[in-house]
Amino acid sequence: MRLHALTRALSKAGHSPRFTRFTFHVFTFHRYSFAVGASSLAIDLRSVAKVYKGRIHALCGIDMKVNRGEIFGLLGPNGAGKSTLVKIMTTIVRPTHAEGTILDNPIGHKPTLQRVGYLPENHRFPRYLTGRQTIEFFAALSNVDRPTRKKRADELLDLVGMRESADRVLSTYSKGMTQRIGLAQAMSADPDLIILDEPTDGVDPVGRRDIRNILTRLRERNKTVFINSHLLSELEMICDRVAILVQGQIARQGSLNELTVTDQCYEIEIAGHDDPLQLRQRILQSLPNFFPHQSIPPTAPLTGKLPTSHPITLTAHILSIPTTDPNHIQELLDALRRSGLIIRRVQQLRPSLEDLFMGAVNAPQAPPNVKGFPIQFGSPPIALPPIS
Amino acid sequence: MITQTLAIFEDAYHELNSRKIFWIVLILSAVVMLAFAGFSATDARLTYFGVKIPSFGFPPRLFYKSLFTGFIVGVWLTWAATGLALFSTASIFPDLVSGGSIDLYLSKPISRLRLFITKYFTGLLFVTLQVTIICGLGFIILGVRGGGWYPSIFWGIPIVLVFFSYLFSVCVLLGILTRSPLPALALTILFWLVCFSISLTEVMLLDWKTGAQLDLDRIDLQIDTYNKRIAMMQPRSPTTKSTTNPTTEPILLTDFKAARDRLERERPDAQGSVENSKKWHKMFYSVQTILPKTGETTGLLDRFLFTRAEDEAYITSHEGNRGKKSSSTEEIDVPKKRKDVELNKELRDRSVSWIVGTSLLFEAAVLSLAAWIFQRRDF
Repeated sequence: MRLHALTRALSKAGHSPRFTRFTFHVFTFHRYSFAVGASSLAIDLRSVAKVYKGRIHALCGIDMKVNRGEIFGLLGPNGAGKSTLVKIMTTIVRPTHAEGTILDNPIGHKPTLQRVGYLPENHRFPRYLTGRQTIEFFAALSNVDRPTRKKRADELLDLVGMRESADRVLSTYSKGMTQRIGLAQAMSADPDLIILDEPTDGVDPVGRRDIRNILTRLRERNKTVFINSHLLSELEMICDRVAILVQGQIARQGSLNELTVTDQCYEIEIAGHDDPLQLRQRILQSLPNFFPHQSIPPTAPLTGKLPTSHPITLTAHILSIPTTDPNHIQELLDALRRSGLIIRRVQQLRPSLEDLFMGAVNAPQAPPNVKGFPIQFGSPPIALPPIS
Repeated sequence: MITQTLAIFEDAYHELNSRKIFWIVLILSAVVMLAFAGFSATDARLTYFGVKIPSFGFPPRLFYKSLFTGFIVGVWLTWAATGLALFSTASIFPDLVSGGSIDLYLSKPISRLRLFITKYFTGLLFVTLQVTIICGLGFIILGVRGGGWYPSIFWGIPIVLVFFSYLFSVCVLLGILTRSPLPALALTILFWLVCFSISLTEVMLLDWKTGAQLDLDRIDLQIDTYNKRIAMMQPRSPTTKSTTNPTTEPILLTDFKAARDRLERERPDAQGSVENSKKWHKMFYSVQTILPKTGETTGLLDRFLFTRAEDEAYITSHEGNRGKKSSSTEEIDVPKKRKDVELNKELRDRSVSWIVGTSLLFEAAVLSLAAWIFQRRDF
């Protein structure tokens, strides 16, 4: 719009139409060049909302950023709006309101989908096609020319381990085999962004590991992978960043480290053959500076303080310190060693993705803004790191 | 763009290839054509597997050709093969818009409208292949067994295709609305029967209208004839007239007057019948103008396959039959055959633009609605 205002201003200022046109083209080219070259975001969604039949608020103003070359996981309970969000990104569902870009083009820009691979949940591939034909057919729909798609089909069949069964029709495949072919078709146009909806659904543990390896290799090739899954343990293993969607809103978003930074801690486990009560007493005696008040009943957790004023909790023979910095616990370790106590384990602990997920799902949600847009409440509670 | 279109057509071919119904219909078509090849026609006689059979007063070659249009196209392609084709293609759009399938298509860089149109045309592939094979075989069989090569037989391909496309467009709309092949197929067949019934009723009303009009024309002609004869038999000079006694009027003149009076009494009824028939026919004709004209469309093949001279031969053979059977009492009734000829002429004089043009307009409207729904819907 600003560009059009500029050209109008140039016209009003008395410049010739040729000059105005030239300026328009120069700026358009510049803007285009900037757009394709500069952004490091594969997905940049702002205020994405979807209301079905004027009353069902599936999405209530989603803000989400996915960096290029990362594996991003979208989590959420059933009915949270995950599939709707994915379908909006792939133009299957029209948003009620959406701003932002996918691969630097506006949401809903069809030609951009040539650079997007998608594996839907509960997909229904033509059962009369062979595995190879399926890959080639969907590559052709992405405008891949015949020689390229034939060559790529062979490569992808090798990649997903389906070379042997490539020329059998899909109706003879198991679910796991179909899923592998589905993954291959999602990659058939060599896309920059791959969106996978429950990619490991129906796949055996070996297949899951294979898929994880494939996704990791895609990340190494600077491809962006967006995964929508219920399998938290799977996501935890491979995702760089995650977002948790609850009731159509982003409840949490960021890297696992960022999301758990406040809940991370170090645990120090002391070993000993003594009676647990005696061991506890020995620990307290060796750490008088850290636990000045020792008159608490022996069975209850005891709270103390580090010199850095970080709290310490002693439960049975385990010391717990809520910090992510290992420097904070060095003095404590030295004191334990000096007193002759045996340290069995020092471990940095952080909540699992499941803990995070359950926390987000059980937390009260902001009421949806049903009156108008843009919606303000969907922004992530944790600040994202600066994106360079 | 062409890559995507070709891929969708290639996929449609694979789908057809995988469906047993396609091969069953193809085999049945081959059997029908084999049965058709059993006929042999020369200028003098018509045989079926060597046994001479009657050609019902028609020239044998003409009769053989009319068997192709009447039975192969008119019955087999129009009813049986089309019904099976609808059965086979009714699931194309419900399958396309089903969850898990539509996601795969819409997530590709192809516009919804283009996907819709391309898929629609792939639905016509079934009938195209069937009718091409039948017309090709028909051309060869008529040439070899009937002694006449008729390239115009290939007009059957677009004609049957257009006819099928009327029904398929309705099937597509219903498939998108219901997302289920069975209701789509059942409702399409119901629509087809409605179209057929309206078309049949319209032809019956046209038959009534033609008959009533001919009846009225006959009455008017006879009244006019009687008036002329009565005028001729009346005394000419005023003196003679004044001396003439009505009671001494010739018997023939009295009969003529009685007959004329009877006809004049019949005339208002005939006039009323014409007006009624016109009113009802106009109503059904208007309805039929909006709806696809399935029967008339396939009937177009007759126009392309039979020359005007052959048409004349057909009419003459009917007139000849009528002349042989006529008697003095039948002369004053409208002969049925003459009415049939008039009716046939009226039907054949209907323009192609009315038959195909208005039907295609209907199809375009239905497809536009279906495409609009397809474009707007969230899947």
